[in-house]
Amino acid sequence: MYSQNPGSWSGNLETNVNLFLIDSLIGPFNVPQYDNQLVGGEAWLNLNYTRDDLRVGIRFDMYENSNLKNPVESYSAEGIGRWFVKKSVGKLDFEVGYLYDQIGSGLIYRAYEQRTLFIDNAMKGLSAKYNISNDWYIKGFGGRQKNAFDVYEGFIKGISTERFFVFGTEKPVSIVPGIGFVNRTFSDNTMDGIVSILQSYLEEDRFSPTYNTYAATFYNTLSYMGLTWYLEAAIKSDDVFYDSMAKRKLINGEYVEGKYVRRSGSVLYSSVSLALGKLGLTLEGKRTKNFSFRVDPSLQLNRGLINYLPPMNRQNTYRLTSRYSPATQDVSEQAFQVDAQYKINKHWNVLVNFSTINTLENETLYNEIYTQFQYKKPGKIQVIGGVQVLEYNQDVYEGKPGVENVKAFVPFTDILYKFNRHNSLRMEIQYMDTKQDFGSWFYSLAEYSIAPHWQFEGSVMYNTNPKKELSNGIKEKILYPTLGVIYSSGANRYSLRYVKQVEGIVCSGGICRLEPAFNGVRFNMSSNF
Amino acid sequence: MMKKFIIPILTALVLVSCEEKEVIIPDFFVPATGKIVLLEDLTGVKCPNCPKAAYEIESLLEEFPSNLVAVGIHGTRLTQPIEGYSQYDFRNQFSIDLEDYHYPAWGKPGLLVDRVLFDGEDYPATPIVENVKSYVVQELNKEQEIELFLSKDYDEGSRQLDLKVGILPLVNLSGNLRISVFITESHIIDAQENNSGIIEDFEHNHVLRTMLTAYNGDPLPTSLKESQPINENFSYQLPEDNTGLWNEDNIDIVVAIGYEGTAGHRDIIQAASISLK
Repeated sequence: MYSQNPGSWSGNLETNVNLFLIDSLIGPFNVPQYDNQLVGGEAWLNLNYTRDDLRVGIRFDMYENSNLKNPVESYSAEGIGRWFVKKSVGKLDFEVGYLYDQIGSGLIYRAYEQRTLFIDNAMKGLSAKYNISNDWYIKGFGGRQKNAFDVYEGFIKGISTERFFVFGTEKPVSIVPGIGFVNRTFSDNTMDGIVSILQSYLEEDRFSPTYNTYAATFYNTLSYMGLTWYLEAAIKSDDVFYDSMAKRKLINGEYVEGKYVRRSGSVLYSSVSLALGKLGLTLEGKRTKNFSFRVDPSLQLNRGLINYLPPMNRQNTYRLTSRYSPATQDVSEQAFQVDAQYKINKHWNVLVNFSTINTLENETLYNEIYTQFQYKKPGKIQVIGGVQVLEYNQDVYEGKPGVENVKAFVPFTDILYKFNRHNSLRMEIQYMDTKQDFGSWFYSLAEYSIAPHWQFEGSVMYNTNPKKELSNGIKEKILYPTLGVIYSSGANRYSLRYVKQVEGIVCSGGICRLEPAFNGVRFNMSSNF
Repeated sequence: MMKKFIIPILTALVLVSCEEKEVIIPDFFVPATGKIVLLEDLTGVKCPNCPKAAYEIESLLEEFPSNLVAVGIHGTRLTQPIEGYSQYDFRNQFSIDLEDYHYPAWGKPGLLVDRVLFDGEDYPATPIVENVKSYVVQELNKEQEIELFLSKDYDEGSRQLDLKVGILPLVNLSGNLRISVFITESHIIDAQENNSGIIEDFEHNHVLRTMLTAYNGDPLPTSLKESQPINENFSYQLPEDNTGLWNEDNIDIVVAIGYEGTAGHRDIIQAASISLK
């Protein structure tokens, strides 16, 4: 039976176009986009239709001479990147197609999209959720993980249940416990590959793999007045994964680092948030041991990830404070983070964040102290300033063995001045003092906005004390400028920028990758409807 | 009713998961074949992970003494001599061109097994040293398509090398076939970075010193008939060098026949090597 509801359409379009201009000093070299293709880009069009209990969607993806999949390679493909049909029938909700979902915080399962890192871990399959009551459900799913326009061969299935309880009425305490279970089965091809590699190992490094790995998690969110406490504990049965630190013996008696191993794993993660009047406090801790969980253990970097381990550092946004950001480690990591915000009065507030990340063997991976103050006079001026001090293990995070840990001191300020209702100027000034990697940097940005349509921006990043040799073998001071204009009209946004950008880490939620230098023009267009 | 079943169902799933037959890894045997595989190592004295690949290559050469030959390519990246430590500069125009020819890659070390793009790899040069042995075995399990016969005449007085390469197709072949001749030198003791610093007396083996063909090989006839051999001749005079390089006792000649094409379509179908002395 159909209702009179005609349904509604929604969607969005996002387009990136890059013009690649090779720079004789920063490169990149031997990259097809710079050598001969010159122009590349990507586009995504999402289209969703909702009517009563039915929701359907389709997404067109296009990559042409794109450097998104691999920054030093050209990738071209286009087609249906996603489709789904979702329907509710009584207490049952079911969905087929390419599905995004997660259990708990994602420790054992998370299917998600992160375009800037070319991550699209949607599961192509079926998900069914039975709502036992308004506050209790059980859900099951199964399928294969998306791999660009294909799928990986391994079969993933899982089940989870979550329930909401509340106790008391005047000062109620609520808890939301959940449990989840995920099973991954290797394909025959994957197992053949594993066997082939293990066959090449000497007897002492060999093991007998199994097709199946099981992961289970228990989680709970407790809320009481200003307190929110999230706790999740996950375990994983014996699984094959690559441990880059494990030693393997060669036939000539030498030992080399890195081999496939079969081990069980665990993760313990907790987060406590306290709202105490003017003080907001968040404490987080995580311990990870052997929790690499992929569709196929031979997949590297961000590919084939079944789960998601939350980052344990502040997600910084300023150019220099975010330059060294740690990727979550899945084999050995223990980390703590404290974040405190205090509102002094209606104009002033301060923030202090401390995070420390080590391996389980106590090797330093990352330490950061971040302080920030904010002064705000509504409608007139906002001033943000602060200092970041960090230590970053570049050897581990960027695979640059033997290099010193980067130690940096970064003062920064961000000033927004509103001339009137339409005109405003925002300026950023940052300095990174470091003796490692590329050496010290200065960064400045000016952004002039004419509301509601126009924004003009210009920035410079300057290697004030270069430590790294360029392609000409000289440690040269280089200016990395950016000039851009942005036009917004309703739900449409267009931006055009000239960008000269140094090599660096790009992260999103603890998932990172090393991006080579960029020099060229970028055009972005987005539209929501 | 439903509530009663949820916990038992989940518990049962966890319990069911405990039993599974393990896959037994069969013993390893070197395939009986006349095929010889070319292993190219994109390396550099400033590449801290490269000693790991070098150890692996020596181990593989020990394991496949008749079926594997190696060439170490010190091209552009991480190859500048280490200030205050390096005695030699291993770079030459052939190694630079060859490295560029094999790029892009994920970095160094980058190991190419017959220049094949294997399943799961982004590029023919794999950074995963552990994968190399299984790739060598995969190549050895392919049909041998060519037999190579190398003979050389070397005059110690003039340091003149004359090389004859006999190419016997075992099947009909067609395409853009190329022959590459590499001159390599081993047992060179010089500095090398590793993960913990600098190894001052590292033994560099199979270092590409020059080539007797273009870096991407010289063209062969586009069609080779089964059992109809062809011959190629090369001559080269070894340079005199008083620094310790070009030691004629440590020189090998490596020959490879393969296809020219875009990256991933340049498969080497047979290789061979012979010592200078």
